[in-house]
Amino acid sequence: MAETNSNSNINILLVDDEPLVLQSLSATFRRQYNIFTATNGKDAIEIVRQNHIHVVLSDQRMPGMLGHEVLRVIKTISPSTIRILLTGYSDLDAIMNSVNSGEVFRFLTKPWKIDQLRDTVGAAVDIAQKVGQLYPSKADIMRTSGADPAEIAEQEEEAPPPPSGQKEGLLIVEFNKEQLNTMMQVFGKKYQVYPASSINEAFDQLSKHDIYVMLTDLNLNSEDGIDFLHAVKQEYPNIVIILLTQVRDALLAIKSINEFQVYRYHVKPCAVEDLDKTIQSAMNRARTYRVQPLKNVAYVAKEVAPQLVEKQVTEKTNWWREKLRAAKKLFGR
Amino acid sequence: MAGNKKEQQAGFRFVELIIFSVVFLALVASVFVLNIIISKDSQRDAEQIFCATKQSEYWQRAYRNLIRIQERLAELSLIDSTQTAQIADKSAQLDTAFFAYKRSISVFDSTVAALDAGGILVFDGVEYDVAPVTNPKARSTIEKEIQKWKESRDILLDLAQKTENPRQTDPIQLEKAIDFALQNDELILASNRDFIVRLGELSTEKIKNLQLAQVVALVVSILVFLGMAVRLTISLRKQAKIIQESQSQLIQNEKMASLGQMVAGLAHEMNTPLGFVRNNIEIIRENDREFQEAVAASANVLKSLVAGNYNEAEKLIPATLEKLKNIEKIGLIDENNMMITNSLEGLDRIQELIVNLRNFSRLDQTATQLANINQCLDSTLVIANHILKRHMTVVKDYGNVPNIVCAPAQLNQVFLNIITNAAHACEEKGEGVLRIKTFVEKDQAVVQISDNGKGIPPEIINKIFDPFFTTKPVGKGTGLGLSISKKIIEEGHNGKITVKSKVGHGTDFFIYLPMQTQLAKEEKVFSESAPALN
Repeated sequence: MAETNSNSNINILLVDDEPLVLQSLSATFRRQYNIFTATNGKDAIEIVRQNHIHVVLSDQRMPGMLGHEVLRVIKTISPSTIRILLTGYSDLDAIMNSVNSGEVFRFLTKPWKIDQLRDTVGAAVDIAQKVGQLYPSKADIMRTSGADPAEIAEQEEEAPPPPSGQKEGLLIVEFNKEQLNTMMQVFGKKYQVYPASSINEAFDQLSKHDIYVMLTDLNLNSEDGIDFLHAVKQEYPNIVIILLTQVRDALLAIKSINEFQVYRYHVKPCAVEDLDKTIQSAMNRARTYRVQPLKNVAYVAKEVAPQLVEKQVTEKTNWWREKLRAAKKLFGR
Repeated sequence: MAGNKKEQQAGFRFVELIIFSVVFLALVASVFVLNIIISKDSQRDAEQIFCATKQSEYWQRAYRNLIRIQERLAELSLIDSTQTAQIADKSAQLDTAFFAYKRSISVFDSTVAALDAGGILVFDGVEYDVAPVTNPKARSTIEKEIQKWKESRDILLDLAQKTENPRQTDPIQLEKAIDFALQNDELILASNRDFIVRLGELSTEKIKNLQLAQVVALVVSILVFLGMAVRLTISLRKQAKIIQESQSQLIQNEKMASLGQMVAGLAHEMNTPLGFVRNNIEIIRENDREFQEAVAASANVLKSLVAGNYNEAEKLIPATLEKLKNIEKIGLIDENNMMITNSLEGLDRIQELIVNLRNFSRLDQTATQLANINQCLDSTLVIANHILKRHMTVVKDYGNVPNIVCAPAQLNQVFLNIITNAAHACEEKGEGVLRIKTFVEKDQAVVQISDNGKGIPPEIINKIFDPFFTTKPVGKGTGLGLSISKKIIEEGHNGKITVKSKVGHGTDFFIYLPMQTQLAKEEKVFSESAPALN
């Protein structure tokens, strides 16, 4: 646990079991921010309890608590802290887990590039400052109550009630028509389901209807799918995206977090109940976003750190964005 | 697809086996059947021979008695009626001859009929079922006799049957009968003899044929048996080859899996130093920019001073000082020093990893060599670090074990395997202790690898070295790790690997390696026995 002085009032916490990595990272950021360091999860959590931390950057593989576990606890203690996970590609399970428990703002892979690292942390700091307005006191409450963070179950913030009288829009993108029909039957009762069996159909539905949640089986191995989702998240940050795919692929999971802040990553085949639960909580999340856009990291990121977002954009994404924008104007939404 | 093919092959083999067995059994059975047929034939022949013998006997008897009848009749005609005693005597003799003839000729007749067309003969109360002679060769010998007999049998039979009183025998008939007998006696006896001889010849021929058939059948069945054996051997070999191939494929898979494990470990271990070294160098470069600026500014000041341009110098000095102060304030020099020191350490670590990789795989060395077991364990621990790091505490308790002859790369594979298993066994618990002990016991070097994980249940502990036995989910383990380890230790090193485990307490693996401390050398200088030089 170390603390370096700087004139900044931004606190960032670096967690890694390797002191030399901590020294290197400290040297990277010490001129801009106040640096806290911890060599294990327990210390890191203690620091978050004692201090207002804007951004935490944690290694995944550490003795004792793993990085994503640490981030999960930190999320409950200090929801406004933006969490970044530093990982090798070999940690597939950890990556999938952390995607699905929503602790992570960005994944950075080792070995990292200093510019990318600085950009990501910088954007995270901006977002944290913006989001911080939302939770002025929560961290303080947690700090004083001193509850064991490990015992705090991950709790969904209370979402606003569903709008009465009308069903929320659920866009299902699925190439297999049979499966699409099955899913429509299953979820048709609860939600206003809009089916799409291609990217173009999805685009049409997006342009014409008010979508809360997007359940998609875009073939994300093709750049097309990723670009499209990226563009969708840019133009409609409030849509919550759930991925339903056949492949467990760490690279894909990392991309889906980093590029369109995927909400959940489900591997097919999955149980209907699980998917239903996920959609339900995604709907809650979508309603929250509509009421409190500041809770939406993707939205805030777009607002306060457009430069980070723009860096990831490809030509194809821009093409989709233009299209989406034009459609928005046309349909007046 | 492959499985299907194998099944088909197995089916073919099965059918083939059945065909071979059927052929073999059929051959054996046919020899038996042949034997039975021939022995029946022989029995028939024996009966015919018996019949022919009896025929000769009764013919001779009939012939003799016929002659006697004639003699007695002649004698009786010569004796005058007064000599009643003599008449009675001769009459009695005539009667005897007559009845003997009567019986003999009828038996003779029945034997001829029997040989000709078959029939039942009774001699001394025993029934003989004589089959007709069908063999043309045999038949030809008696054909003439039968023909002759058929022509004249009425004469000879009537002679005996028509008359009640022998003394009233028709002399003309008698004359005819005697004529026939005289003419044909030779023929009948010769025919019978020939017939018997012919039958004997025939049966010898038959026996020869039978023997030939038996020999042929025996040879064929041996050939069939050999064929079956060869086919079976070939297919067994093939199967063994297929098994061997698939086994070596699996061993290759396992090798690839452990290679993958090693690479993953190495990649992870290298990522960290690589990450911070790269970062450090970027920082050094950034700092260097500030140093250069300060140096350039200072140089300008100095130049101005040297040139005597004091006004210019005075103008430049504050900014330059600011830069120098800033460097000092931020501690850029210290930072750079630290970054360089750290980077060098990071590079050392990478180098160490490469050395360990070499030590672990020993690709550049001979397979069998003198090696230090403790060093092998150390390099394996480096490779396994990423598996152990999170939840395992490693306790090393190395004894003073001399270098032994072994295949270090293979031993490392064994160690990595057991260490990986130990790490997995402690996974549920969240933390565990891996204790590695080496010591010398009698003439063996012993490596004891212990964990305090969940242990191995007694019902499966005997199976853990079996190929394909795994408790890991499908796709996670090949189930070959320990079986290959056993092979490496027991076949490759003449050692022994044993396990002790207690559920909930942990598992101990013991690896015993023979203490061979010298490489087998060609001790002799000369390839042949040393020549005498004096």
